Amino acid sequence: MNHSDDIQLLRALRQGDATAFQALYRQHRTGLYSFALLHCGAPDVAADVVQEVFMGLLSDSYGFDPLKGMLANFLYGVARNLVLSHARQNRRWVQPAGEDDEDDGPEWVDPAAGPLAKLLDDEAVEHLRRALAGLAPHYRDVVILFELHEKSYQEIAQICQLEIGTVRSRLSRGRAALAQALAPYRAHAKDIA
Amino acid sequence: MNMFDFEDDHDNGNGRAPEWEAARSTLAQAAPPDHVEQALLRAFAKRHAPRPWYRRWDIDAIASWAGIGAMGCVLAIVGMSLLPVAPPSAHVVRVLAAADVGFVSIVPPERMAAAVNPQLKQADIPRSALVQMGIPIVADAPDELVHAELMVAATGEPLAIRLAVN
Repeated sequence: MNHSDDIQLLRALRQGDATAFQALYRQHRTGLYSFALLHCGAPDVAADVVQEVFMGLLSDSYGFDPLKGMLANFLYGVARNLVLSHARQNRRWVQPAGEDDEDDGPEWVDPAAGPLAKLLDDEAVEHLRRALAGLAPHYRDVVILFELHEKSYQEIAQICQLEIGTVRSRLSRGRAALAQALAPYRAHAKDIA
Repeated sequence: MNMFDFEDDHDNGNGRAPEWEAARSTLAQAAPPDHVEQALLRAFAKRHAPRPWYRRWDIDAIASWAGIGAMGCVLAIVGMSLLPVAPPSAHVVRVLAAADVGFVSIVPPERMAAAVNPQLKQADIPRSALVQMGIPIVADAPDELVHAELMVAATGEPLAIRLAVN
């Protein structure tokens, strides 16, 4: 489904077509939920984020302008803001291990991260989730959007409201930090193999 | 090496680390619980529920219909003012004259209408003369004078008369 399909559905939605709203929701729910889930680590929070994103779309309270970009990227931007907002309200500060980057602030970890382990039984994914939780949120954004959702620099810049240079910088540092965090797991997996 | 290049020798040949491939595979079917969709559809139905007729009138609709109504009234008034005015019937003239604070017309209506600059005169008139004018009074004392007000045309012709109440 492309941008024009989304716009058609959005137009039908605003005219009261429930089927269009449902189609739009089903089109974007997996991507948004995955993004929120990996970002915050809590399925219930991720579900709340998705619901709030679409509630806003339903009430047209976000003021989406089709001329300024794709609906999907707009929705990712809203979801990102909601996830960060939730994290700020529920944060507990921890000192990142081995971080020497000046603009790396203290990170926050969602206390509700535990239930994800039930959902993600794959060991590699669980290690990835833990490594992502150790990243600062502004690195986590770009890494998830780039690696999981395969967004381009331009799209990530639009979603996160950043300059492309900043996206490149954060992505590079985020991936490096992630590789460092995953190194023990990879070494262990290599030994087993 | 470009500072933004990322060297990760753990990719799977596609430039993606195996952990991300696993995540993509695991999360490909991930979706919020069904109650989220149900809640959204309920909210949608509530937002787009058909409104009763009296709530369908927003302020713009009311303003536009009020404007149309006002324009219709203006057109009706203008149209009626352009219609030719027929002379009133004799009966209507008599009724109107009787109702006109006591004056009784003693000339035809067209002469009354054509009179220019009429004036009001006071006079004492014998009862017999009033009876001859058609004024319905008792003429048992024909020479008795009755005080009256006369509407007189510029030519001196009496147009209407009103008897004084003693």
